[in-house]
Amino acid sequence: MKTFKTILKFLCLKFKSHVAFRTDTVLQFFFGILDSLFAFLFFHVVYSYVDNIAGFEKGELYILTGTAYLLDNLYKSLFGAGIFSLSLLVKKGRFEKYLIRPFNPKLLVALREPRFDNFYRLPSYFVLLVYGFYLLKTFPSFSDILLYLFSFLISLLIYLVLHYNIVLLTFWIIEVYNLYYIIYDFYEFAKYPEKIYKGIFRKIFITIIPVIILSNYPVKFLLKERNFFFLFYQILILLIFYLIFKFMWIRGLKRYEGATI
Amino acid sequence: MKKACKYISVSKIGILQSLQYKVNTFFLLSIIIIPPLAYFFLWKSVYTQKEIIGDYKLSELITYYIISYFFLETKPHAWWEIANSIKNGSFSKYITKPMNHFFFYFFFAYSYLLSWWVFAVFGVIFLFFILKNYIVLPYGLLPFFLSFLFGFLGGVLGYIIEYILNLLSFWIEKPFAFLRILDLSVYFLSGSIIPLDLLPFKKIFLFLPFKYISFFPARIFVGKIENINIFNELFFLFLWIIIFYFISQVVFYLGRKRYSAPGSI
Repeated sequence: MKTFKTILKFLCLKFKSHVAFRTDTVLQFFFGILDSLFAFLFFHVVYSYVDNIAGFEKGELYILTGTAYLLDNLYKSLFGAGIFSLSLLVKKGRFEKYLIRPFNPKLLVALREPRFDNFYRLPSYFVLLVYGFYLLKTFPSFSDILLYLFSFLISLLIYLVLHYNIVLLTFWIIEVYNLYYIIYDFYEFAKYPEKIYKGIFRKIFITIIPVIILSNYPVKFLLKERNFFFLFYQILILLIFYLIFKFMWIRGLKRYEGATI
Repeated sequence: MKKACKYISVSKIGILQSLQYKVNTFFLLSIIIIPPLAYFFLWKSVYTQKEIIGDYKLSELITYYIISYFFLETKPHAWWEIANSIKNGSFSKYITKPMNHFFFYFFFAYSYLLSWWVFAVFGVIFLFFILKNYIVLPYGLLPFFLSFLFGFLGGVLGYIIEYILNLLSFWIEKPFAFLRILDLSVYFLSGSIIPLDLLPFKKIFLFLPFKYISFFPARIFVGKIENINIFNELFFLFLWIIIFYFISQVVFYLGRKRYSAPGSI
């Protein structure tokens, strides 16, 4: 509880300092609108030629894309910059600053640089998602929404641990920041229905780099495909990646050499 | 000659810096390989219901995406460092050097990209290999050469536009949101998300200069050069470059007058 309160206070302080730049805030909001508009236009063009993509109607695809954007931007606003900066901390030998504080260092690193720029974009992605429901002319039940939110939260944690694991390689490779962007590039696959992927690629994107489950599985609950196997599978993936994370963290710390006095 | 030597030295430094972390540059390959691969799966699924979309067959569209991403991601960037230097005062060190600020960054940006281009070409070859059944190659050397000529000049144009927006830092407290919006707009308006001629109101998109960054070179590469007057397009591309270069020099001149060298000696 104390940790939670500290995190909340820290985020509030960061938020206050960020809103000081009002023009920037407005522009970030505008960025979100533009991003959603481009996604909207893209699928609008595609659906002017076909009725569905791998069984997904236009509205369903907007729900999927909206969810993918929401997840990605929520991650970037809370953890993205903090985790990315771990590679710099290790490279410059300043990481011990965070290890000696009376706070969980894993959480501290992840939350040290929240980027509210991405946070302002969330409403426009949410509008894209709601527009999908408007096109479908159906709305999910309350329990479906709850299951969606729970599945969304697990996806967020998987996404977080995936990034963390990549950045932890910084203990072994000096310059790793381009490797970090690989996950963002792979996330492109999360924006489309899972059924379009076939063969070996599908297997890889469900297990080793499980990006397609991040958006597709939560959306299943909104699209009345309620199957608890998906939830179970997400939790299993999260557990496996978390164990890898724990192992890499411990081994990485043993290799680390600080450079501060 | 003496002037050219300065910029050759800058280019050498750029090349040396880019070669410092080769593994890191290698990882950047994902940006050339992964997004076109994602589009491949999407469009392959779409093409199961339709044989031709716009005037593109599946193989033409997949090749279009690969080439368009190649040109978009290998264009030089007027990095945010310019905006940062204006904000933190380190810009002073550039204006006291006997060099043109624009050309200093221009040569640095291009030379820094050299090693990246080598990697990126291998990325394209790799994609051509794994998607070999969905690739069309240009008929003869001319479309190939023209595609790269337009790609190169389009990159120069993209660089100048980015440079101008970086200079907005002279007037704006935090210009980074502007730069992000530009990045996103270039991404879309250059035709890397979807070919511009498939969009509604395509005449507007095809009038804007962004088409030269990746749409136009990629379209030439896949052999869609009928109905295009190459000389006219080349003329317009040069015209856009000259106009934007002129604007960049005016903005630089006006901005320099406002510069207060915060925090520098």
